Amino acid sequence: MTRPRALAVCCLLAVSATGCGIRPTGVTDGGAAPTGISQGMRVYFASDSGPRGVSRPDARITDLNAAFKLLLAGPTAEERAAGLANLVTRDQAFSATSRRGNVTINAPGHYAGSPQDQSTGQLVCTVARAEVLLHGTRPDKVQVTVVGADGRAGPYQCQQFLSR
Amino acid sequence: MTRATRTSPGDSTTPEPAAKTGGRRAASARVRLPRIGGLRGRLIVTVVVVALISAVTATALAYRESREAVLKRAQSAAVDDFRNSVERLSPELDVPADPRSLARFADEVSSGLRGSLVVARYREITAVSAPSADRTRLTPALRAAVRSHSRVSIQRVEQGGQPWLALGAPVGLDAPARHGSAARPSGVEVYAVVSLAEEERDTAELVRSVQGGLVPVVLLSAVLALLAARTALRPVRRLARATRRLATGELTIRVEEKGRDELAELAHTFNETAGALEHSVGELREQEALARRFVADVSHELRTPLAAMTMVSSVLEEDADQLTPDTAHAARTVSAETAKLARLVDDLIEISRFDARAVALTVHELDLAEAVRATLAARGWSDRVEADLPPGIRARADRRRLDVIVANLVGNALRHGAPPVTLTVRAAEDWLTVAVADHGPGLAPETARHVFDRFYKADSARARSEGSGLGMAIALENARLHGGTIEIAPPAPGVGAVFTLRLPLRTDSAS
Repeated sequence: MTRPRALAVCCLLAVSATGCGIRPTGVTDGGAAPTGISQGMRVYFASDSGPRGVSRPDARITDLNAAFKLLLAGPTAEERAAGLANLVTRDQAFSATSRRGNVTINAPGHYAGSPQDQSTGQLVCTVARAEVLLHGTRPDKVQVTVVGADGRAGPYQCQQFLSR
Repeated sequence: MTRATRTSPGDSTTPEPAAKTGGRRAASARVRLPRIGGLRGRLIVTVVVVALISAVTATALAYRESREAVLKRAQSAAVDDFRNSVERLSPELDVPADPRSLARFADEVSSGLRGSLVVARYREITAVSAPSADRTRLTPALRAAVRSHSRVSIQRVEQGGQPWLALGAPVGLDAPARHGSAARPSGVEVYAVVSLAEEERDTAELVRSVQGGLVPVVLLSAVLALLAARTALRPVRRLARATRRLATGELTIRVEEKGRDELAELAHTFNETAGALEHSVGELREQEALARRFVADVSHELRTPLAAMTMVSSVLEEDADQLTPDTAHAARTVSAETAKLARLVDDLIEISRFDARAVALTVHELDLAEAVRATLAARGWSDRVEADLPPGIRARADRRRLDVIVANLVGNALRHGAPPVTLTVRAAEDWLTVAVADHGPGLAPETARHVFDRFYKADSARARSEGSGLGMAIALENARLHGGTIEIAPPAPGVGAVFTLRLPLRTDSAS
């Protein structure tokens, strides 16, 4: 091998070793797509970071009141382990009615606090979800009013409780 | 090597120690300045280049492998983070999605991905975790892939000199629990751009460490090459020195045969060659010595009978007038030929003594004009030669040998040249010159080249001329004995042959 050619090979190797950092690539596959957007019923429980929804895909609800039953059933053991808890007290005669997306919850023993109150958020979001499923209302069009022990509160949107 | 060869003519005449130091001097000069063209330079360059190639190749391969591993791990970690984050947060997302919930979703996914840029899209709604961020890192190719495949698509892009990993995936419906079955599309697409700067820093660090390691590798290989060159070059140099000394006639020189490699083989061959040369040169010298001794012996053996014959023939010649004309002619011829033979034998003996180096100068202080005049007078040439003899030139020389030289030069001019013959003696600085010129046709170049050879006759037709054919050879030997020479002037128009004897004015008696 003549000297110039050897030097050229060396330079080429050196450049190929040092010159390329991280090269751009084309689009490659990264595995299965994430899933999890639920079309079924969703129940909201309290967590450290505000109300969080968990899906109940097998639940069949026929009216808004059925949503309370799901809520009162509480989180599963798995969900409890993940830090979810039910703050809605059990023995209350809940009832809910809706008219064109405007939902009214009658909760005689419930003290509806501010939008920071997670138990109110649980009620609002769970019932709003049921309203969406039952009447096909757009989620952002659902307005929930809570009539509790200390009078009317709201109308609320579920988002108000979720976004801190 | 060139340098060594250049110094060799000087070394050839100097005695052994001088030659040795000369060789060492050349060697040390080569060590200080290794020439690229030499064997050493070539060896070093080759070894360094090979070391460089192998080091660079190995590190390049290792670098590529480790970079791929680093990137692969970073990518799969990013994909896992992305998927987990999206799957954890997507239960709270409603479809059809509204801008507020989508923005919240994007924000939360972003906070789960070390604050990377996250873009969530649902139909015409687009939510960005950092609205001011540049979204061109999400290439059209990635968007198209996300729209057409319900998989996580990833792409490495470079922007602003920084590497980024862009991820994108449609978010499927259904719960995470039902992973196995194909998820129905929800229409929500999530993109994330994760920085790979840290990974690039890591790999760049690797390259830097490799670059730092290359310099010691090159230095080490150069040192190793130097050592290897030493082991290869030392025997070669020894061999070269031995060859030089062999050329100067030191036929007994041998080199050491060490090891079993090619160099040892070469040394062996050299020794064999030197041995064969020594043998045949020895034989030749022996034969030459025998031949010379033979000539000397024959000449000596001829001397006594010749003396008797000369005596007889001179008696016969003296009495020739009283003999019959035929007998008288025969007697004169015999006398002449005997005289010639006697001169030839004398010349032969003289030459033999030169060859046997058995001659010595007998140096006297003499007046040159007087010595030359005596030479001419003794041979009866005084009136045939125009001698230009400035008085007062004194020289130290062997009178008899000077006489032989001058007599041969003048006799040659008289015999073969044309008159007038001129003789000019000059002294300048430390040298004495005696120029003998005739006005004949001069010497042909071929003749001039051989005129000092033994038994050379310029005119082959005159094979039986008066000279023995040894005169000029003897003259030259005598001049050399004085430390001088005889030169022939180059042919010039109007001048015949010009022989110039150059002698040092002071010749030391020890020759």
